[in-house]
Amino acid sequence: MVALSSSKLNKKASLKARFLECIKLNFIHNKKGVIEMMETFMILFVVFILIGVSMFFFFKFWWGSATETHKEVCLEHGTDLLSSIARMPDISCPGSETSACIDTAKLLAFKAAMDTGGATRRKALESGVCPKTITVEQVYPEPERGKNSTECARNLMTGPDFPENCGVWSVFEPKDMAKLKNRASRKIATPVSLYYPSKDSYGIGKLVITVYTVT
Amino acid sequence: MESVFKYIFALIVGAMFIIFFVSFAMKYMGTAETMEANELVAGFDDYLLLRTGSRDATGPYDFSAQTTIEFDVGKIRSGTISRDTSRIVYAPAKLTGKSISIWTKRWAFPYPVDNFFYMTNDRVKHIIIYEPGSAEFVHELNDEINDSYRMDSPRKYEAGGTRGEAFNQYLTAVTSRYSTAAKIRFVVVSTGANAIVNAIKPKLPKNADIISVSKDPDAEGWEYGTVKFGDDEAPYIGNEMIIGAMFTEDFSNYEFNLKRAMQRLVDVTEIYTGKADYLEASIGANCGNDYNLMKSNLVNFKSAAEDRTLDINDVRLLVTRAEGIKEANKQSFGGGCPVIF
Repeated sequence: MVALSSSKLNKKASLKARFLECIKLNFIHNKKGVIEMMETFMILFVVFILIGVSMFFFFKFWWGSATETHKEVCLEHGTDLLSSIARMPDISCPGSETSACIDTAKLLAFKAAMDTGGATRRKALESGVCPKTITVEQVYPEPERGKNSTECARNLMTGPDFPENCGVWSVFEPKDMAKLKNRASRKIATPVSLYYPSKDSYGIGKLVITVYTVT
Repeated sequence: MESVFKYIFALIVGAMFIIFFVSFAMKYMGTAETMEANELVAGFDDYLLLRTGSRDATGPYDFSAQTTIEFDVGKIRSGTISRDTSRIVYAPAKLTGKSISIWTKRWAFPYPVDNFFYMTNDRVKHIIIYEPGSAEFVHELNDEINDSYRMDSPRKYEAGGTRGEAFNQYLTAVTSRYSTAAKIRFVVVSTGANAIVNAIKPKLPKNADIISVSKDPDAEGWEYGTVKFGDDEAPYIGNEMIIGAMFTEDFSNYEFNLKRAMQRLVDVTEIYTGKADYLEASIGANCGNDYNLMKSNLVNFKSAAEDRTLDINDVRLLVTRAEGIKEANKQSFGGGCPVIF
């Protein structure tokens, strides 16, 4: 009887020990799985970080190159405009539509037409990738002292001391000029002949285009 | 069980990576293509702008790779990028190739107004058909075109008898020679174009179309008249518009360019009116009433050009007024009173 109960007790103890061993093993095994899982996520995390960093640099480089292309296209457009605008029938001298000569009387009328809404004309100058301003500056005959930046308005152009009494014609500027003040700009210019029909004489001027780029 | 879970996990993560990289590459390619197309269209428009300084010039435009560029009522398109152009372009709807021929001519009426651009490539063929009444003009026109653009010699229309038979054989030969061309455009220049068009049209293959040009009965020469695209017709002023009709895709594009040319005429006339006004104010006292008269002539001319439903009667009026302005500019000014144009 005693032997039977002792054997029962041993069996019970053995079962308990095996149960504890099993829990211990399971715990150890689970811990290993969690650690493996964490390792995997850490690797994934590092890989994503690497991808993110390389994409950041890639886009930074790409954006820089796109901006540079944009700038180049703008300047190219400005240069093309520079060599063609003086030959436009709208402002070119009579009988010399293919040479760089600007009729100041036509320039005055052109500017007035532009100011009073000339939609198609404005569209022709606005077409282009970048906004720009177009001005004509008088170089010779030299404007009187302090008149270099005086706008050649109609009342000055009909005066007896024209063309020395003013120095500049602002031909075109974009509608949203105020927004462009903080943007980077490049000035490109070319010499042109200026024709003064009221005096039937010629002078020398400078056609200036200011191109506003992104940077 | 454990290894199965690992494989599923690797599969999901791998698929995520592949999807990410493929979508990134696709988006990047799309953006790069859009930028390239944008650059191409902007660069092309700039090239046209540069050419506006020439009175008459021709040359190829090199794309450096196989490119398709489309033109439609004031728009230039490449791929998905479309851009409005203020230039007056006469071209087929679609031009494909590594380069295209661009020819520009300045249109004057009676003073220089704007440049017209004619574009084509080897895949579009033009054939002029004439009759005895238009022979002299057609040969002049052909010389003018051939200075810039090579095309087949004009052919005289013949009907009936052995000559008519020879003309029919010519039609068969020319259409089979250009059977692979994208388009063959027949241009009938004749005083009574309808009969010739009706005789030729049924004999043309699918890749051919036909337009006709006839002078106005009131005109001395071929300075103005009518262009017909099937049942649609519109007036022309000057050889530049006839050439435009030859090169353009269809009536809607021709009409669009006609309206645009008229708008440019209005714009330039406004400038000359302003110039006459300025000269009257500054030196008018020494030049009698001439600047004032010129100003009112220009205002009348402008109001006639502003008519949006331009027909041949409006053109007759415009031509009369343009001749008056040209004459006044030549006769009234000189010496201390400079010419207007």
